[in-house]
Amino acid sequence: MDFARFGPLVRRRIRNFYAFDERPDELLLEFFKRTPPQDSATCDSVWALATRYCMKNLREGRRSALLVAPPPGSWAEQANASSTPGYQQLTRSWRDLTPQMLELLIYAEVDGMSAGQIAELINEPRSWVVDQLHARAKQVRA
Amino acid sequence: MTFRLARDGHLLDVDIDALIRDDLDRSLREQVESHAADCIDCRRRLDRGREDYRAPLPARAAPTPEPPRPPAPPRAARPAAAVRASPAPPVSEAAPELPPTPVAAPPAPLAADPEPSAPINLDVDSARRRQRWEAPKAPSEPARGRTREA
Ligand SMILES: [Zn+2]
Repeated sequence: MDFARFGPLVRRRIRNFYAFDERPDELLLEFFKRTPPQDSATCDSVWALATRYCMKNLREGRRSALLVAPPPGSWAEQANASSTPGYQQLTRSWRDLTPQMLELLIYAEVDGMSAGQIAELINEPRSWVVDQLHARAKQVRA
Repeated sequence: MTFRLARDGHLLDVDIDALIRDDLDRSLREQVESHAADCIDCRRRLDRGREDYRAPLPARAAPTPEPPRPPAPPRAARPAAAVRASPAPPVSEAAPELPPTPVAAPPAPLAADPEPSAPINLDVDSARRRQRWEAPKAPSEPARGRTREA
């Protein structure tokens, strides 16, 4: 992975998650150390990889600012998303979510992506993404 | 991704990066730019993103994954003839007293990492399926047969 080319993008994703972390640069360097080079990397594919990398750190116990408030400069902050049911689910019960659902919710609630955009990003049928998000929303309302 | 606005019509975070990195084709770039021109909030996010890009990246560690090797004994300390004659250096040689060659320590594993050497999976597709179906027998099974109902 091209560090000079994609470093700022990965750093932005890491900052979304770990804005208040003492050493976000350490995460950045680790990401590039562990990600094999890829010729066909695009903004989107790197964004997805960086998201998974951040989620992995989250599951391993790194405290994420994203689970407290929408990250500064993000779509969620602009859209004032902290009060939406989806975002609240992220902050309150992310531990109960499967990694896959957590990823979908981050794209939807933090990045503001539509189901079609998420589907494209993760290479899944749109109908599947819609079903997942609907099922989740129903559960929240129940 | 082909359509670049968030579901409420504002810019996606990844749009902002793509625009700054000049990764959008012309028509998309025009869409994104024209939105940013009209929307003060998105313009602010775009400016913030540009700041992120201007900030210098941290220095990367030396590209070699191995830790630095102990310095070789200075060549000059050894008589040229001895080098040629004996492959094993005499013990009495005037070489600096190095401890027995420390075996290069393996790179320290990353803290709290259950799979320290697992690379990040670039195959978005198969990683996703693996997560979904939890198929331990054939982790890289492409499973292309699944119908795309979209
Ligand atoms: Zn906007």
